[in-house]
Amino acid sequence: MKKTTLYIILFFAFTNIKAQKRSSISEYVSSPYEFKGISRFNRLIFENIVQINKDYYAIAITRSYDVNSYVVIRTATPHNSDFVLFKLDAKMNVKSMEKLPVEVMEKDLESIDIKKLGDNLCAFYYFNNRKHFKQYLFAQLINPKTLKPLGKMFKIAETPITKKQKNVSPIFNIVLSPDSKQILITNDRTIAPRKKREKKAASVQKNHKVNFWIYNQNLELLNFVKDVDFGKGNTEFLDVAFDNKGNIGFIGFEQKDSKGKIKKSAKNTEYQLVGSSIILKIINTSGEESVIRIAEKLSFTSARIVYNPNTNNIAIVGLLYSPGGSNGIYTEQINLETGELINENEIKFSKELIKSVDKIARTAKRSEPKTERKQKRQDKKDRKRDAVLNKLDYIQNLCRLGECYYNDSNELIVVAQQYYWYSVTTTTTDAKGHRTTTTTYYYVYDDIITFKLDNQAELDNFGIVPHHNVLVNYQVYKDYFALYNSEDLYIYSNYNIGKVTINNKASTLKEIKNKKSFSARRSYNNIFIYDNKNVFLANITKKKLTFGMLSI
Amino acid sequence: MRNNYITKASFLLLFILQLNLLNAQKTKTDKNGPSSNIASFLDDGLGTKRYNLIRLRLSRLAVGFVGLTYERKISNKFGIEAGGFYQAFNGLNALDITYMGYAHKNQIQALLFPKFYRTGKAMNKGYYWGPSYRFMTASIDVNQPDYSSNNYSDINFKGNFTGHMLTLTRGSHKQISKNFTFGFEVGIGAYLLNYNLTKSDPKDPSYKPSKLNDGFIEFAVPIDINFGFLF
Repeated sequence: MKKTTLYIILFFAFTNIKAQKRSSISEYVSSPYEFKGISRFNRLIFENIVQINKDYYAIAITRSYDVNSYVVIRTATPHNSDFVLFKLDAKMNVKSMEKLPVEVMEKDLESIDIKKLGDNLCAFYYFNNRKHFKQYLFAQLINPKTLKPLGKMFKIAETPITKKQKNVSPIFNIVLSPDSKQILITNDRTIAPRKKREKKAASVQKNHKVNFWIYNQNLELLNFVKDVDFGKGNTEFLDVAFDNKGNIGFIGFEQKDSKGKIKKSAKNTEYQLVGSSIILKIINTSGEESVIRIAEKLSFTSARIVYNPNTNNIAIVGLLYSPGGSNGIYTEQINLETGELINENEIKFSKELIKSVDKIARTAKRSEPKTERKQKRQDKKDRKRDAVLNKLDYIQNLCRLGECYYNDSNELIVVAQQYYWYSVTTTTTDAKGHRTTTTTYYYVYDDIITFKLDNQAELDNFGIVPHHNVLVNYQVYKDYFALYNSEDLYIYSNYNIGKVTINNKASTLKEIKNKKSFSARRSYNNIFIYDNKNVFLANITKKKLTFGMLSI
Repeated sequence: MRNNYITKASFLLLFILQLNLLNAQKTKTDKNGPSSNIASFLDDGLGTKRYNLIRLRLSRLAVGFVGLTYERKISNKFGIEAGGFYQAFNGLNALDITYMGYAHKNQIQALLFPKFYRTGKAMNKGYYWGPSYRFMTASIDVNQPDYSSNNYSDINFKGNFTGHMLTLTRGSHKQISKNFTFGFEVGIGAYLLNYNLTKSDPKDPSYKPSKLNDGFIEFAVPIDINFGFLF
């Protein structure tokens, strides 16, 4: 009798552990919500999701098209219109909805985003003034309970635009502090589209200048610095770190060589990587500026800045440049307040690592050969591939650095992806002898490779998520989301999710249960990550919206 | 005593100057900070949204009408336009040698055009569409060779014609300066024409005057260019 009871207890304990393991990914799907106002000329695009107390706020923008038809030529210019704010409960069901019009004083502003600012929401708009030749940034606080505007609208930043840039998209970059109580606004002129001639002129210019504004949660100006020098004229603004005290660190790419960017053959065009050097600018709360050129002798293909809230340090992580890929990772830890260098480390990928990365990914992607003949053919292919890899001292096409995370032990998790693109030009002749030339662009998103660096920034382990996704004539920076909950790393891509084992092994992505609910329209605009632990999904059919949340 | 006044006046001047300087400094610092006076930042020289528009229409380019219409915006989605046209030149139909061709000369038209603002929500920008109705009329008094008879002598056609044109029209509009707009319109539909004429030969008394009543429907694709004045 006693033994039976023990077995029953053990059985329940075991099933409970299993159930707990299974519930590490939870998902909520709302019931369909009817929404009028979506048409051919009005699309709804989700931009962001924020959480205040127990409620979630899904933020969408109506994208309207200004259609002008001149008999033969028909132009449809898209522009951001009204905000649509959905208040959702924890299970993603809509509690209330509010439209926030962009029409202010009989003028149409362009909406940018709504962010969480303190305990309120804050909507950001911009307006291109063709009389003053300036772009203005406006902010409006919103009461999260009523979803109505709170107080007056403020102009919080301005930047000059040229006569030809009267329809330019927002030049401002808006970043929140980790505690969401301060906003940093920068105006980076390189965001504005420039002609070839202007780019050439910028590369000769000595200085690239940036203004920045810091506001508190009541939209009171805390700091404004004008014309901060930031590298040479053609410096590309990359990433920014901003702590709760108001210290700022931002990095950019100073392109070393602009020649030979694209390799062209008779029909196909391939992208060739270019190495750039990283420049870091730190501005502390007292206004002291310091410029640090990161590892001047090295070239990088991609770089990120990671803020470590445990130590108030920042880490600059860069993928080292090698023609055709990356041959290592460079990290540098700097104190954001003092600008003091804490440590720096250059990790070169060993030939064993390069070989094993390729081999693990290859084996994981391969299905079992059925016949002996096929096996032999595959072995031959493998030998050829190994011979190529023996000569390589870099991981091929590794050039896109994704998210980087610090865990509680100050270890760094780096996520990168192999990426390349090519274009194919075809010429067809119809029966009448008319020639048509079409160019198709293929953007290839390959394996996701993760690295774990220990607290001394030495390479500890790596993990691979075998992946292959081709986007035709449409590109994004990365086609996946990485979620990290201080212990486990998850990768989400194309309605598949999987936990990543960073132990020299391959990890696979599995289809989520409610894939059918979200497969109607695959748009990267309607899926986004929230808080590194949740993926928010919005599915839009003609007049019905379905919301979903995946949590780890 | 006099010196006292001068000192007082100079102090007052200094005080005003100091106030001005302080004020100037204040506005200088405010320029980069937050400002709730957003009306000044939104003034882009194009004025606020308008509800009235007078259009000069070069209507039906192939026929050659010039018209003046008035448009009133009723709501963000709906507006109505009405006006009149006069055929100022013969357009591309100048080679038309039938009485109908001559009838187009000196023609008067009236327009009624309720429209829906599809994008832009305004009369000064974006794309709109709606049913456009035109009533047209002209008096006819022309001499023209009668090809139906053998002598080809000039026959007089006298009377009038009326017409109704209904098209589904879509167009777009752009504000080009504070008060002026430019637009383009294309319609598709049909017009119904009725001719009530008396046919006679003034030189030949033996020619018996006869009545000629003709009516027909034609397919129409009117293309309009218009310049607007907003107020």
